[in-house]
Amino acid sequence: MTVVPSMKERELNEKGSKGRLAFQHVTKQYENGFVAVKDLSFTVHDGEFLCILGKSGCGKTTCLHLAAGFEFPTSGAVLAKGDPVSGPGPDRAMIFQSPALLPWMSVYKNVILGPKCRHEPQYAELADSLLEEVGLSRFANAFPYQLSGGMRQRVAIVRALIGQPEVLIMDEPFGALDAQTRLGMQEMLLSIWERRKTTIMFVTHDVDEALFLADRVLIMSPHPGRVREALVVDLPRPRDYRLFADQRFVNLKRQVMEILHEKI
Amino acid sequence: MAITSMDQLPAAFESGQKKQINDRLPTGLGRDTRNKARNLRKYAGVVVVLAVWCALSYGRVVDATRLPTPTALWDQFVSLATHGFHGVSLEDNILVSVEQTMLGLGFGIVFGVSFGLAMGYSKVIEELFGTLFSFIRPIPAIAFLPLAVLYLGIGLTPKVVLISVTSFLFIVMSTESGVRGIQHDLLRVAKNLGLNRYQTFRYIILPGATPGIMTGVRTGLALSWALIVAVELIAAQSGLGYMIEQAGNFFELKIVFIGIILIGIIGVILDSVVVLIERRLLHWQGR
Ligand SMILES: Nc1ncnc2c1ncn2[C@@H]1O[C@H](COP(=O)(O)OP(=O)(O)OP(=O)(O)O)[C@@H](O)[C@H]1O
Ligand SMILES: [Mg+2]
Repeated sequence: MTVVPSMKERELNEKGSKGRLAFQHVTKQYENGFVAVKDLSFTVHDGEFLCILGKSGCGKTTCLHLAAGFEFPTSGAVLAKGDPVSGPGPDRAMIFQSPALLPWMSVYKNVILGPKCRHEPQYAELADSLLEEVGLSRFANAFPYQLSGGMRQRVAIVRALIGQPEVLIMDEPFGALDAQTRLGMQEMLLSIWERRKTTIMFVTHDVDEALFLADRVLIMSPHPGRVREALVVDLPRPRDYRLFADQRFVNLKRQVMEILHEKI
Repeated sequence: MAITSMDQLPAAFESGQKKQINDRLPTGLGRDTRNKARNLRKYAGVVVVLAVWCALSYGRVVDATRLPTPTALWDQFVSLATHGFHGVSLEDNILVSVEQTMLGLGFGIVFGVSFGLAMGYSKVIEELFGTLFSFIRPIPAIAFLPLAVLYLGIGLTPKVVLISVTSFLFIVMSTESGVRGIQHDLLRVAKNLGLNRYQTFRYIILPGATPGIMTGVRTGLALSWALIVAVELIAAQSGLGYMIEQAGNFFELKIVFIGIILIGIIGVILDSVVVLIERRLLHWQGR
């Protein structure tokens, strides 16, 4: 475990490192004049599980919306595989804080909506196998109101995965779940990721969650949002609940807490 | 066996029998007992009014020329249903009112939903028409009746136009707020999944606005039904309102009462049809 100073991180970016996603001196000022993030530079590497940690209002969702192409930087650039992000696309699938399922469609229809509308072939088998993978095959015909919060978020994950995205962009997806369900979801996400090595950009304000999941954690500070630290989490994989009691995990957590505490 | 978790109910999902799940959930009281209690409460008000009516009329508290007894009213109803009133049969009077309401409401729905969706979708269209509509909305439609008669004569057209405009104004409003009420993340989902404009409309905007549309249709129907009767009181040659008006002129008090009761009953029936459609369309709300 090593703390990489953010300066060094920035240099890396400026040398034009070929990341899957690269933020280069990104500033985002909203229409009302509020500067949500300022001079933000970092790279998400291919196949990396990156967590962004920071407290409420520090611009995490803004970062994700920039990466997903819902928003555009006021200055600087967001690059996907070297090209500026020009808008949303299924190659960068977003999973929201709320599951954002269409309540008027069954689980199955929610899941296949994207490929069906994009006229892609053979989504049916893929949908079946993905629903199986997250343990929801029996609920294909259920409607969202008939599911628990965790089940809804699993449907949202399947809906994102069915487009076979290169990057998964996740905005505190497990924030609203109880601790036990959350752990189950985290383990499930890790196994999905380990099977596919999809690049994941994951926002959370939960230190345990960030360290449990990530290869690397970016710690953001607010007003305006910046990256304060980039922390490599070199804990062994595959990880499970026992990691929380591991001494290396505990040390790392103390380190993160100290950084977060300093910034308050 | 008490079923406590969703996971124990896969069979119901697989056979697509969503309704069954609710029926099989454990209930505190017996289902029948609870339903009976609810039905009693629902009709308590009606029963009280009927009881008071019986007491006042049969007990001769109020004179029969001012308040007919239920029996007298029933006899009059039977004769009205068989012989009609002033040469127009009761069915015809009812049908005329219902048809004109439906026709007006139909136009109101078609234009109201289209305009409402457009206004919810585009800020520019909302700005162009919003002020105008909110200026006209609070004016009681009956105030336009003289103008409608002057420009459009008497007959079907002025009534249908007035009803269309009234229901339009309310359906526009609730359709628009239905569109605006759609969760913003759902529109982001649409963009993220690569839906085109038509697909976004078809799969997200339209179903998302349906609760608002149905609220508007229900309000529009209630207003239209009230309006047709009011218009017929003033400018018509048939319809329930016309029948009441004529009966009033000839001091046929019983027919006035029958007309009033029929208007109420038909209003309730029309409303329950809309509620039934609403339940079908919005089953996904899980209520
Ligand atoms: N559309 C917008 N217009 C103006 N200001 C905005 C907009 N969206 C976000 N902001 C502001 O930008 C800042 C960062 O918002 P953002 O949603 O990115 O924070 P966050 O880190 O995701 O917070 P949370 O953890 O609470 O979700 C906030 O102070 C917010 O008020
Ligand atoms: Mg956020």
